[in-house]
Amino acid sequence: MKRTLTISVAILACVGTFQGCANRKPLPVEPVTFPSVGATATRNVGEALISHGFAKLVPKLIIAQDEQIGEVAIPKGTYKFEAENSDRIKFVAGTLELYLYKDKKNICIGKGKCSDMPYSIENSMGAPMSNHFQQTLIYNGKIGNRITLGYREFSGDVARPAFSNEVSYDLSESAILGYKGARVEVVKATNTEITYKILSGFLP
Amino acid sequence: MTAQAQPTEISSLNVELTQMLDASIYDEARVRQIEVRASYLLSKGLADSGSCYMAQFLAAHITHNEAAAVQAISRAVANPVCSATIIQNAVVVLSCIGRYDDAVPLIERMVAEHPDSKRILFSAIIHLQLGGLIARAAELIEPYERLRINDPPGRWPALKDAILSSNKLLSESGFSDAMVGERLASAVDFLRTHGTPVLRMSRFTLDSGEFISQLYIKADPEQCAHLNFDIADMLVDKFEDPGSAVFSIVCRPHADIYYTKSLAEGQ
Repeated sequence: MKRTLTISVAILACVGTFQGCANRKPLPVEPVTFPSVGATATRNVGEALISHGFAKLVPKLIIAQDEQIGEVAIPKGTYKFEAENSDRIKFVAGTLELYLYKDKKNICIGKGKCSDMPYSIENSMGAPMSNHFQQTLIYNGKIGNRITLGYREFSGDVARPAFSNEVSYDLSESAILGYKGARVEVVKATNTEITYKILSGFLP
Repeated sequence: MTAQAQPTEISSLNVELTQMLDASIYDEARVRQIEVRASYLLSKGLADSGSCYMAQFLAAHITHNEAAAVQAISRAVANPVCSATIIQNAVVVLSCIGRYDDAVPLIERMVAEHPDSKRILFSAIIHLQLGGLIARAAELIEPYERLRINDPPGRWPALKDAILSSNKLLSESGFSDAMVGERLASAVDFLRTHGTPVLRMSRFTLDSGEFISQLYIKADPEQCAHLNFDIADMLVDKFEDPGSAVFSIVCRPHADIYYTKSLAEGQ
């Protein structure tokens, strides 16, 4: 059984430095380009292609198919991050709580009730920290050969920006799109979805 | 080196204009250059017409030419496949010049055309809130949350809480969206007649049980302070209901956000 596990450097750093056993460890806040340079990702219309700012990287647990641990059914789906300590990361979906144990890298619902089921961890960028600047390019879709990206700058303010904008590109010129130093290579794009590779982040 | 696609000229021009508006820093000479360039691109068919009209109405708004802004907006949104970005910006400009009756149908059009778009629903909620249409913004919370069910909370809980609390406060005070809109339109008119048109709306805030709408204008703090007293007097004189006890409209100098940003960056 192949296990796909992609845990960010930030999460690994938590594992390495955490000392307390029962204490919850807050996710670190750091300057983040997300996804990281070199990563390939797929996004739907309206989702951020690349973001840069001070934020927490929040992990999600993804279980691709229905599983079972003893009598308990573990439905496939995305489980939200709830908490983390030195031993394990807790994820939830509805009333179901799952624990990812860091040493054995298996999924448990309680002590000794574990499974080596396949799963993956995906990080998402949490709320940018107040008073810190954030830049984001958002996929707005593709019509013909023209692709549009929304560009947003935030400064921790919930209601900004009041005005919206988007930049348009002609894909027949090149599959590499650049804006304010950020460069992404379009692998495949439809009007609803884009797969792309991050070549560089926003310029400071 | 691998070739890199550049943004189309008209989209770069529009980003320049929206960033000026969002930062409240206006280079009017540059705005006029952009206006001329957008007209040229439109006349030669070198760019899509909707984006050219958007550049025209944003530029006209910055240079306080309301008639030109309204005319360019009506041309921009006449296109049945007009982009949501054009509609969003048209809504903000119409709100800033107090034309809520024209803004509301555009928001409804955007929502009707893209009912499954998180981005559009979020944008509609923000713009409704900015325009004082709080009850309608509150109605869109549920459909928006259905679309963002797997998303991290981000800024959303704070915004949602502000809208719901505002809506509760306003409805308990017997205020409707239309009544809020009338007051905002009166304040916008008042500022315009005093030579300080509104270029950007900030947001509604709740402070000690009072609901405050902020309008950014080009004025120094002292002038703004006087205008705020005058706006309050005008609202009390014009509206006989007790709404002034819970709802205030204040203008703020555009440089104020600059100071705020500088302070934040210096921390």
